[in-house]
Amino acid sequence: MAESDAAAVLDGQAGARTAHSRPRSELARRWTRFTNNRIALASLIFVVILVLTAVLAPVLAPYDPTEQDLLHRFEPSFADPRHPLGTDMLGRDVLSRLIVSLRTALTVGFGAELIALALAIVVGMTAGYLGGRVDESLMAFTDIMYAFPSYLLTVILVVVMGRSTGAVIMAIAIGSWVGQARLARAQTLRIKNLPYVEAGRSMGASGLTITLRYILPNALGPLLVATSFGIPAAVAAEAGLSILGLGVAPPTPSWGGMIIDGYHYVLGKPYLIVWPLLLFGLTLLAFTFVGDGLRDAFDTREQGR
Amino acid sequence: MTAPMSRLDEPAELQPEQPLLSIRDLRVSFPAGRSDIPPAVDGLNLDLPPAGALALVGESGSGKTVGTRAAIGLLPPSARVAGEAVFEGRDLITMPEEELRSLRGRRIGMVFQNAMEAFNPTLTLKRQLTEHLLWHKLCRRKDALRWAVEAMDRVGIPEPDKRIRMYPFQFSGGMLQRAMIAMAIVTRPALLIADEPTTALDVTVQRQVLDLLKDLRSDGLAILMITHDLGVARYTCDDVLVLRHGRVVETGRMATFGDEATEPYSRHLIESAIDFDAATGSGDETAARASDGSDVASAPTPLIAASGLNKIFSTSGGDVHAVIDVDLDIRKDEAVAVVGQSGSGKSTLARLLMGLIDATSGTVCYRGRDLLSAGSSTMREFRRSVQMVFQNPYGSLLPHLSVIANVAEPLRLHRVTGPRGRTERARELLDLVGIPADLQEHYPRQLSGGQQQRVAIARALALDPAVLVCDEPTSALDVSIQAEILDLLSGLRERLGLSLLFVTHNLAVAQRLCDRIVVMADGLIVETAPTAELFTRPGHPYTRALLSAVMPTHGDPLPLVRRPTTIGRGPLIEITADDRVRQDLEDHHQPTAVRDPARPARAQED
Repeated sequence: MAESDAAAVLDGQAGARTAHSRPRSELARRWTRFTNNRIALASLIFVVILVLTAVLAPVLAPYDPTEQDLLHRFEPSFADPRHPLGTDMLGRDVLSRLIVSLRTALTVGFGAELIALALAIVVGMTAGYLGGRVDESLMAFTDIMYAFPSYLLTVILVVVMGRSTGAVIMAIAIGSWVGQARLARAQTLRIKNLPYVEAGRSMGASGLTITLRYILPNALGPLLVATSFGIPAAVAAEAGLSILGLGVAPPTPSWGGMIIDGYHYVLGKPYLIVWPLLLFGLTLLAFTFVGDGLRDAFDTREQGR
Repeated sequence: MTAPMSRLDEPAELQPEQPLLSIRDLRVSFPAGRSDIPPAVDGLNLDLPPAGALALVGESGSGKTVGTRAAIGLLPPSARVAGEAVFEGRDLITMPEEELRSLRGRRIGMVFQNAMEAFNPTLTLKRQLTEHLLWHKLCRRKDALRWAVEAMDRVGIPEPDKRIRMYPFQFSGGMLQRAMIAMAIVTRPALLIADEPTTALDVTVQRQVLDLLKDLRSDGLAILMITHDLGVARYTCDDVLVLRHGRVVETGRMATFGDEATEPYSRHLIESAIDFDAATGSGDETAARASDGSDVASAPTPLIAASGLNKIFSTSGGDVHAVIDVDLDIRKDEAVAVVGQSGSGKSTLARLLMGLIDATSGTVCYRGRDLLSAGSSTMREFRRSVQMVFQNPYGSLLPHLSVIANVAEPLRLHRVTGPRGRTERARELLDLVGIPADLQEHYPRQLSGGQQQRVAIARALALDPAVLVCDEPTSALDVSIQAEILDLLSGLRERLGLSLLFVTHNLAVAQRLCDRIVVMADGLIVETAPTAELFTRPGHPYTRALLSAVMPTHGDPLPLVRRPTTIGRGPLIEITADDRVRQDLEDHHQPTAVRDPARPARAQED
């Protein structure tokens, strides 16, 4: 009812509502709102550059990140044009390791969160749409998962499944899908009572059509926002695992591994820890800003006309 | 005629001919970043004499609410207000907020659409009414209660000295609206601003609240009424001011406005207001159709036949019998209206007939086949040939699909032709309902309410249905658009040979469109009659109460008939102690069962 009051106050403004001259989809409207947020837009550009770098890592990295050159250890940054950021204690090129680590980090971040999203959609929407016993048992299961410390769960899973990239992705996904499943369920519960779902049923749409075609597209906004915040969390989780010695196994380079290596030389060779930390921090920040922008763009509170 | 302003602490003595409230060239705009929004109110002028009654009439977005709120300083700070609003000799626009606040509520009372929100649910009415008085330092603490009780008595709340100790939620909607009026007049103001005071109320209650407002004028209270309903304005006010897009279109005397208004927009409003014709019962056209209907009535199988339908909603507050033993047939080419107040079970009945909710008992047959026992092929055929149009057009369209995709959706669901054929068919349908080609690729959000409802109708027609079930399809729309949609439906019905089930709370709307009217109350069908007969010889007292609740734009409404206390079969739900208090309160005429089914029904739909 607050809505109607606001509408009453603004009804003069609504009078100015002129017919838009061209069709604008929901997505286009969200995009405009997103681009109005300059920081989010700049962050998105940065994220795109990161993703491209990660994809092209094998081409961009000047050296094999695992190639050791014991004659050129601890070369400082900016000293040798062949190793712009210097070399580490085994003479490996720092720039190459950074680039390939980025690939590892983003693979884990996107991979884990997409799997988590898929799990969340399947479990959350099934529970929300079917309701009753199914809902109760699925939600009881997610509540148990929720009560378990997710990081501890991830650590246990890595220990059980091993330290391959795939195993780390699965472990982080399983540790982080629960919150999103609840969100998916809440969205489903909200949308399944909207008039257009009833309209769909009155036209003879099946349950599957209603969930996939009517509910899912309209529930996706908040879920994507949650995912965009989940990606930096997953990247950080992977780095944390590496620092504990449980992340993606060496010799595959990862930021966590670089940070822990640099930590041992932090007084003498600080550049070894500064570069990975800097890139790590900027990446997390950029993803978070993109998430902020998405959240504002998909704000359900202003979904009216 | 800018009167010189005297800055006195007490209201200046007014000359009799001097207006109580005089608004001159009031402009309101909401500056908004990049987009250039035209002003919400653009040069509003009005004069309200002491004890006068002026109606501000306009559709949503006309600036009637914004203009009034601007005059009394109730807009958010983002609004830019210019012009003057002289009340009792002092300009409200330039008045410091402190003084304005003491004036509002003391000399100017306000009544809004939603009474439940105007009260603090955690405090008794006594606290809220007396605090109001004490805050304005209008009387001593010991007199405050007496004043408050008197105000409640004045607005016709029975046993005011007891009721005043109750909480807002223990009152029914109509009673709460009265209580809000009591709160507005407890300070004995000179001006009452009533913003759509009856829009949220049931029709039979609306009449009583309007009668109360009229009666209050005998105390010397001036009324500024904001409404979209010319009938309501005519019934309550002397003068009228028509607003559109923030500009004054026309002013006039209410009594002669219907005949003498000259501006095309005013004429449009007057002509699109839906009045029923009590004298002759119904228009010739409808009468002719009604007799057709009775011929067809002898045809063997009705398209939809419901028999012995019952629906019980189980809630924490007990079972609510929303639909009781309803038998209803819809025959070929027939238009049937189901009329009743909110909570009468009419929407539940429509959903039962559509198979959207399951009946507790009873059967719905489609062309003689029981839908419950019939196979999936019958169900599929039913879903194709019985389509529904909903009350909220925007909500019923898929927001992420374009208009044309929305219309093609049922074709897609039933796998009719290929994608290209579907788009073509959708285009034809949109042309049929009058959506111009350049809007067809737009998204529902970009269309106006009336256009959205046209799209929803086009979608309902996509599968060439035999029956169209319309659940209050016009009640969310502006009056002038309401008439357009009704004309569209009536035209489509003739052209396509549709049968219609039309659910509405408005008898005049039902008369305009339907051959046969079914009146529902408390989940029961109280009367079924051909339209002409129902209007000339209403059989049931409840029907007469509904008829007297219609506020015509021309002429006077019928003499007030109160809603009978019991409908049919006595108390329908278990009445808890709380409810009994409320039932009591119901102004000796509205039993609990009427109102309460709405709650679980809503819970079900929400």
